[in-house]
This record gives sequence, C-alpha cells and structure tokens, in this order.
Amino acid sequence: MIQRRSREGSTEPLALEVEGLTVTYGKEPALWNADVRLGRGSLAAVVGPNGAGKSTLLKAALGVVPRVSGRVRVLGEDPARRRRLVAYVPQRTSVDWDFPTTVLDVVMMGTYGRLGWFRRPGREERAMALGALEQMELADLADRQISELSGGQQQRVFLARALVQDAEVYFMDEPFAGVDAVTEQSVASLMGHLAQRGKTILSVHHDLATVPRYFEHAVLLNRVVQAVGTVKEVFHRGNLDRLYGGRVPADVPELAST
Amino acid sequence: MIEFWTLAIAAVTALACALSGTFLVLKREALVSEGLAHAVLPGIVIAFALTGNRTSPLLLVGAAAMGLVMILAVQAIRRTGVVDATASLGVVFPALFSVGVLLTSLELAGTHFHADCIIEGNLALAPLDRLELGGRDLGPRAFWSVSAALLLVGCFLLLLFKELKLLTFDGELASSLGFRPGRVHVAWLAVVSFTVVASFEAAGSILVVALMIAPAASAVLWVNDVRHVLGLAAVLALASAFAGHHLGLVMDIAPAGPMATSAGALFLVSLALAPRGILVKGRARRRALAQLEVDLVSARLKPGEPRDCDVVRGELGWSPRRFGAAVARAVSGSMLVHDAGSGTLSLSAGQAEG
Ligand SMILES: Nc1ncnc2c1ncn2[C@@H]1O[C@H](COP(=O)(O)OP(=O)(O)O)[C@@H](O)[C@H]1O
Ligand SMILES: [Mg+2]
Repeated sequence: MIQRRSREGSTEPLALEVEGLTVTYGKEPALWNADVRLGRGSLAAVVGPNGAGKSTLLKAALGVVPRVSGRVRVLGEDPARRRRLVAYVPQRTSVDWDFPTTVLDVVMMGTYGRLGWFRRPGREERAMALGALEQMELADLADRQISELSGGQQQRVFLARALVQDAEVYFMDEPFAGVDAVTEQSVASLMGHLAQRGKTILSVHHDLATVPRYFEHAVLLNRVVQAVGTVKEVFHRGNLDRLYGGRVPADVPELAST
Repeated sequence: MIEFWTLAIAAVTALACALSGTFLVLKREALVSEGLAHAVLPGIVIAFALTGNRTSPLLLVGAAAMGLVMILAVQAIRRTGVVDATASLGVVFPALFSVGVLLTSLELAGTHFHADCIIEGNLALAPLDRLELGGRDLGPRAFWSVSAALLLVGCFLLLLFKELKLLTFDGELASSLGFRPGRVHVAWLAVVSFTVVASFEAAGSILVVALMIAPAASAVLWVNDVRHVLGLAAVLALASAFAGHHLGLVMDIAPAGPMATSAGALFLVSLALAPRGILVKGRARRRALAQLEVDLVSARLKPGEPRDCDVVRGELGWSPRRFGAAVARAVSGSMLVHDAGSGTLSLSAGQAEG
C-alpha cells in the first residue's frame, strides 16, 4: 500500500536527504550544518573549492564518516541500511594502481556487496562484471593488469565497478579528473543514461565550464552549503564568486552569458 | 630425527610468515612486521612471569595480545593527526621493546632470555623442547605453535580472502559496502601478531621480518594476481627454509641466519630477473630508446630524397657513435638505406611507399 501511495508521488522518499549535518576531523568542521535534498533521478554536481568538504559530503551520505550532528537519509533510510542500493566511485587516486590484480577482478569487487561476508564471486558475478566492462567499452582489457591502464581507463574501470553494483543512487568523487576527452564523453553519457533510468547521481565536479553541460542540479559547497537547486537557478556568477571568493576565471563560457 | 624436526619447524614457520606477510607488503605496511617482532617481547616476558610456565599456550596468546596493543596504540596516535602512521609505529614499537628489554634484565620470575635468542631465535635447539600430553611425546613444542599459526592464517585467508583483498586495495569501497575494513584489518593484524609470536622462539626477531617481507616482496615482481603472489611467496619461503637449513648444516651454524640470507638472495634474484625487475625494465627502456632514435632519423628524411649523413647527424646533435648505431639498427631493420659511397641516407623503398 505504501508502495502504491509512493508511486503517486506524495510520500516517495527523497534519494538523499541531509539535514543539519556537521562533520569534523578534529580541527574546524569539514561540513557545517549542511542541508541537501535531492529527488530521485537527480543528476547533481557538487562544486566548491579544495578542502570544501565535497568528499566528506559523499562519505557522510555513505555513512562512513562519524557525524557530530545532523541526519542523513538515503531513499528514506539510514545509509547503513541502504548499502545495497548505493554505489560509490572513490577518487581515482585514492587506490594503489600497482596492486597485483586484473581489470576484471577490480570490476567484480562491485559484486561483493550483494555477495555479503565470506561468499566468493562465481560465474554469475564474472558475467555481470564482463557485461559492465562491455558497457564501458573495456571488454578487451578484462585480463589486463591494472597497473598498465591509462588514467581514463582507470576511471572507466571504476565506473564499470559501480555499474555492477546495479544501484539506485551513485556517489562519484571527481570522475572527470585527469581523463582524456573520449573518457569524459563516455562518463558524461553514462551519467545521462543512468539519470534517464531514474537513478540518482551526486558527483563531485571541478570543471565549472562543463557543469551546465553535464548536470541538471548543483550543490554549491564550501564547508556550508551555499546553494542547492537546478543548475539554472543556482549556478550563476554571483553564487560562484561568493563560493570561490571572487576567483572564478572570467572566461568560463557558460557563465559569461548568465 | 632432530634434523627432521628442525627442518619441519623452519618450513612451517617460513610458510606462516610468508602468507601473513603478503598482505602487509600489498598494503604497503611491511614495517608493521618489524614493529610486531619487537613489540611482542614484553608480552612474552610478562606472560611468562604471570604463568610461570614456558609451555603454556597462554604464553602465545598473551604475547600476541601485546602485538595487538601495539597496533591499537599506533592507530590511536595516528588518529590524533599529529604524526603519520610510520612515525607513530616508530615511536610505539621501540618503547614496547625497551620495556621488554628492561623486564628481561630484571630477570622477572627467573626469565633468562638472551639477546642472541631474541634476534636470531633458537631454531637449532627448538626440537629438543618437546610438547607432552598425558606423558606422550607429541614432538617439539615450537612445531605445534607455528603450525597453530599457519592454521590460523590459512583459515583467515580461506574465510576472508575477498574482504582482505578489498580492504587492501580500496578501503573506501570496503566501508561503503559495509565490510568494516578497520575491524577486519585489526583482526588480521592480530593473526599476524600471533604468527610473529609463534615464530619468535624458533626464528627470532630479524628472521621473522625477513620471512614475512622478502618472499612477498619478491613474488610481486613475478606475478600479477594476489592469489599467485600468495602462492609464489609460499614457494619462495619454503625454498629459503630448505636452502637456509642446508647451508646451516654445511657451514655448521644456526640455520636462522642462512634462512634470512636465502630469502634476501631470492629477493635480489627477483629484483634482477623478474618481469618487473630492473633488468627487464632496463631492457624495455633501452629498446624503446633505440626505436625512438631510429624514428628520429627517419623523420628527417623524405621519400626519394637521399641526405648527407653528417648533415642529418648535425641536425640531431648526436655523437658519431650514437648516430652510427642508430643508422645500423635502421638499416638492419630495412627502414633506411645507407649508401657508403656517397655518404648519404635515404628511406628504404618499403618505407617510402608507406
Ligand atoms: N581523514 C581525514 N582526517 C583529517 N582531516 C581530513 C580528513 N579528510 C578530510 N579532511 C579535511 O577536511 C576538509 C574537507 O576535506 P574534503 O572533504 O576531502 O574536501 P574536498 O573533497 O572538498 O577537497 C579538509 O580541510 C581536509 O583537510
Ligand atoms: Mg575531495
């Protein structure tokens, strides 16, 4: 019954609901009293200067950093109870790419959540991983050593791994950082496809110029949330000057017109 | 028979150490083995003083607990954010070790550990220290304690290989999937700590480190998959045990030293010869450079237009020797034609068409 009511819209849980969230690592808070609400199917960029707490916001949404105060709900529940519906793409540079393993093996890690403790991946998981590699146009790299990948290929491997998780909500940390133009296109189109299928995406993004092209929503963050809304509403020069302390390059093309 | 047991203890110790050391190497925290090998000393002395009994299994557990104390202390200090992981390890383990040395020199409850034993172990005498149960001789006690460690390591790997691999490669994904990487990691280090303690008497604090790190550090240079790294590390560790034991017999010295030396020698061989070793890498680099030189020369030539060698060489700014070698390679690869009479170079016919 709840299901049916929710389909009519009124009680459908938000994809992400962050209320009064404060997180600290000891010194000044990394996030202060943050409020973010994202409906399902949102395609949202988190934008802000270095050290603004963007990664921290994602980690709080994943429920993996302790919070001092505030509430986080993913699809209406505590993040710890929504792990199977959430996929996380960490910053590419956060792992050791010299680790002795293959592309296929890394992508199969995306199945570990559904496997749970102790169970090993089998034929089915392998097939899922191969499918995701296919989708990211990496199928012929399946047996490649991960140390031999280019930056763009590494990023696509991470995205394939997230696809395997077959989640409802995707948290991505700088998926466009340091990738070539081809990969940028494939990452952007993947995000578009996912959003079209009703998946929610919240992605840290650094390149201000491409925010309007790739995203529909934006979260402007600098320890406090300065604005959340559609790119049209919140992504304008006034807000960005405030966000970056007036150091926004003047030649950001999409901004010049607004 | 004593020789058999010495070898058996050495082999099982090597195996347990290599398997537990592999993930330390992969997680780039190899120094933790060094820390544990020293930090467990006060644990051994205290547990001995408390139980008053050398043969009690409680001794092993108590001493391993001291390793866990070290791990938790290191993490606590690191979490303050004032010093990094390596520095906090470097502070904690010498402190614990010095407490151990102090306790040893106080000869608490008549402990008489010798510095040599701590560093080198006492593999040669280990077979004489028997485990007896109900009056029956079950073999050397050291054999059973390292076997227990091997069993523990093996069970942990069988059950939690996937979790351990995930947290080693990508701890953030592990937490986001709910695999509690912090706790699994500490549980694993507790197993490593137990292995260190169990190996300690037979192997000593230096050999333990050598056996934990060298086989895995060698294996990663040869193979590309965590499972294969584990397997090869095990093989290399066994080889070190056999070689070291044999050398010890031949040279009539304690086997611990030669075992560590063998493990180190196998690492040097790997570093030189393995696919990721320096020789292969160096050769690949030289080959790439040679190809680049040929390409550079070719790029200065147009199809059907021979050019004077010295002019081309002048443009490249190369020594005659370097230029000559590059041209010789290009000619033998049918890229260029060198007309010795006129001293000119031209692209070979096949190149000109392409
Ligand atoms: N594990 C951590 N321990 C201590 N401080 C941290 C940790 N992670 C992040 N910080 C600090 O918190 C602040 C926000 O970090 P982060 O969320 O990574 O910012 P961003 O992703 O926007 O660059 C920074 O000042 C950073 O130094
Ligand atoms: Mg970040």
